[in-house]
Amino acid sequence: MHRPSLLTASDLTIGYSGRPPHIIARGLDLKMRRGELVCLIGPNGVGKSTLMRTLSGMQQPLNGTVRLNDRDLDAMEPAQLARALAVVLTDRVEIELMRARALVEMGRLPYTGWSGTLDAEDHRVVDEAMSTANVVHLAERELSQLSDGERQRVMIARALAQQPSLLVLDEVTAFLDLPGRIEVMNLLVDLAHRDKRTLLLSTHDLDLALRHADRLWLLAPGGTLRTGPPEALALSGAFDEVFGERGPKFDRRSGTFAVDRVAGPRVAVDGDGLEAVWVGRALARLGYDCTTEEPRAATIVIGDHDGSRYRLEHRTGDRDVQSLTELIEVLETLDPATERH
Amino acid sequence: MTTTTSRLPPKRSPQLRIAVVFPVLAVVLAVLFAAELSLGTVRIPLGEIANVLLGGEPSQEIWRVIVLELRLPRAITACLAGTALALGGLTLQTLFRNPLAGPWALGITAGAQLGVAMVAVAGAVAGSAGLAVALARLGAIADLSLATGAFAGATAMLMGVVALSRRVNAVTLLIAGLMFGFLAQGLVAVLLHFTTENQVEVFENWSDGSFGGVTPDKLMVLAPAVLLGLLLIGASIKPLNALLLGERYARSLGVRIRRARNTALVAVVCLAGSVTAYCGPILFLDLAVPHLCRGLCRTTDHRILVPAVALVGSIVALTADLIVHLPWRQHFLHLNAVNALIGAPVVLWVLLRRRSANA
Repeated sequence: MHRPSLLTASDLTIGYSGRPPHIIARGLDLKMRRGELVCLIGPNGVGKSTLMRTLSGMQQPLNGTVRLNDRDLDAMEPAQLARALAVVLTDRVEIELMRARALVEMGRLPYTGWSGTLDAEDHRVVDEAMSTANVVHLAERELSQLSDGERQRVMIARALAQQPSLLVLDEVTAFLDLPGRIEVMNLLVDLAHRDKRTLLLSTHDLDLALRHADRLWLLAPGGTLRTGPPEALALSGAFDEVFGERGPKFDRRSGTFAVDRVAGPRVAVDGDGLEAVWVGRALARLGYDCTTEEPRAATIVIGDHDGSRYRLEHRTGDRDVQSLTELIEVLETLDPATERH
Repeated sequence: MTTTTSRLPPKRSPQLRIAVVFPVLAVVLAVLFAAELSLGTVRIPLGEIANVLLGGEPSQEIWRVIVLELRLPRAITACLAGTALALGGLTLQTLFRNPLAGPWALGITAGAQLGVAMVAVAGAVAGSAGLAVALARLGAIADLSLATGAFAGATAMLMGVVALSRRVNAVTLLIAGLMFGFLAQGLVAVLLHFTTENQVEVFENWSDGSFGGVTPDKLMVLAPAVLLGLLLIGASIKPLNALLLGERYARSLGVRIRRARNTALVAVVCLAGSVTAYCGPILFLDLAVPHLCRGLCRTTDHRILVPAVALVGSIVALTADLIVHLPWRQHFLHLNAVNALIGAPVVLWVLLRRRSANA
C-alpha cells in the first residue's frame, strides 16, 4: 500500500533561542505517513512537549524545517495551518455557560469570515465531528457539567471539526481519572484504526503506545530519538536504554513495565486458563517467582481435589482450599523471605 | 430531589432567549432615553421633545436649549460612556481570562485621570494662566490634548497591567489594579496641591464622574473615539471568541495572537481613555455589565455579548444618570454612588459564586 509522507522534518534542532541557545535535541529526522498513529514517549522533562510544539507550528525550530503536506510550516498562514493541523492539549478548558456544541463549533473558526458565523456546511461538519467523537448527547450540556473525560472528548470533537490532515494530541489523558482515561483512549484508538486518521500522540501511557501505535518515537535524555514499530523497539532493548536506571524495568517477555524486584522463591502453577493467569498474578504480587524451574518452594495445582479447587503442595504439607481468596490468605501466612533456598 | 432538579440547566432554547432579550433591551433603552430628555428640574412633555428634535418650535423657547444643548448631549454621552466602559470590561475579562477585569478595576481609568491631570497642569503652568482658564478655554485643540493625555495615561497603565497579568492570579491582579488606581489618584491630588483653589474645585467636579459636562463640541471628540473603539471591538469578535479557550488553543485555531491582543487593547484605550477624559472616572459599570449580559443571554459568544453589553451598558448608565438627576430637593447623590449600588452586588455575586464553584 502506498502511504505518502504527511509530516516530515529533516535535520531538526529543537529548543529555545538565547545566548547560548538551550538545545533539547538536534539532527532529528522524522517522518509520519498518512493514516498512522505515532506515539511519542519518553521520560518526564526530556522535551516531548517542545518537540510536539515544534511539530505543530507553535514554536520555531532552532534549525531545520517541518513540512506538512509538502509545505513548510513557517510559510503557512495561521488560518491555513489551522485547517491542516489541529491540536488537543492538557490545558483545562473551563468556560462558564459555554455549551459543548458551542465549543465544538470553535473548530470551524479557521473556515469562517470575520465574525465567525457558521454556514450550513460548517454545521454539517460539526455534527459529523460530534458523532465521530461520540459526544452528540452532550451537545446542550454546559462544560461545567461534563466529567473531565467527556470534556476532553468534546475538545477532540472540536479538533476534528477543523478537518485537519494531522491531529496532534499532547498528553491528553494526563489529568484524567481512570474511567476518563479509558474513554479518551478508546476514542483515540478508534480514530486511528477505525477512521484511519493521522494522529501524533505524546503520552505517558506506555501500555497504550505498545498496544496501538503503528510507530513509536522514543525520546531519550540527551535528545536522541529512536523510532520504529513498537515490537521492534521492545525487542531491541531500547526501552531500558531510554528509561534508564531510575525507571521501571521493561519486561520483554510480557511486554509490560514491571517494578524490578529481587526474584522471590520459586512457585510452580499447575494448570491453565484464566485461573492460572490470576493465580500467577497473585504470586507475583506477593513476591514469588512464578516458574516451573527447580528447585522450588511450592507447587499450586489447579483443578478438583476431592472437591477443593486449589491444592498447595509445600514442604510443611499439602493444603486444599476452595477459593482463590482462601489460597491468597494461606500464601500470605508464608513469608517469601524465609522460603528461600 | 428538589436540589437535583434545580441544578439542571433551563430547558428553554438559547436562541429563543436571545430573540426575546434584544427587543426588550431596545425598548427599555428607548424609554430611558426619552425619560432622560424629559425629566429633570424642568419637566418637558414628550410631544414637545419630539417637536424640538424634529426641528419644530417648542411652546417655550428655553425647552429647545435644554433639550438640544443640555439633555441630548448628556443622554448621548451616557449611552456612549456606558457602551464604551462595559465593552472595555468585556474585552479585558476575555483577554485576561479574568472575570473581575475592567478599565476601572484594573486602574486604567485612573491612569487616564492622571494623564488628564498632567496635561491640564502642564498646560496651566506653560500658559501660567491657571487650570481653570486652561479648562475654560477648552476648544477643540485643548479637548484633543486632554484626550491625548487620557490615552497616554490609559496606555501606560494598561501596559503595566499586561506585564503584571503574566505573573499573578486573577484576584491579585484586581487588587494591584485598584492600588494602581489609588496611587494615580494620590498623584493627581499631589499635582492639585500645587495649583490654586479654583483649579482644585474644577478638578474635583471632574473627579466625581458625570455625563453632564460634555458639551456638543466635546462630543465631537468623544463620539469618534468611542466609534473607533467600537469598530476595533467589532473586528475582534472572532479572536475574542477563540481566546476564551486560552492563547495556545486560539493560536491553533489560526488566530494571530499578538495582533488580536494589540487590536483589542487599543480598542480599550480608545473606549476607556476618551470616556474618562470627558466624564471623569466612572466606576463599576465595566465590571458589572458584562456579567449581567452573560446571565441574561446565557452565552459566552461575543457575537451576542458585544451588542448586548452595548445595550445594557447604555441602559445602566442612563438609569444611574436619571436617578442622580431626578428633581430631588437636594443634589448630593453622585453618579458613582449609584453605580456602586448597582455594581458592587454584582461583583460580590461573581466572587461568591466562584468560591463555591472552587470549593
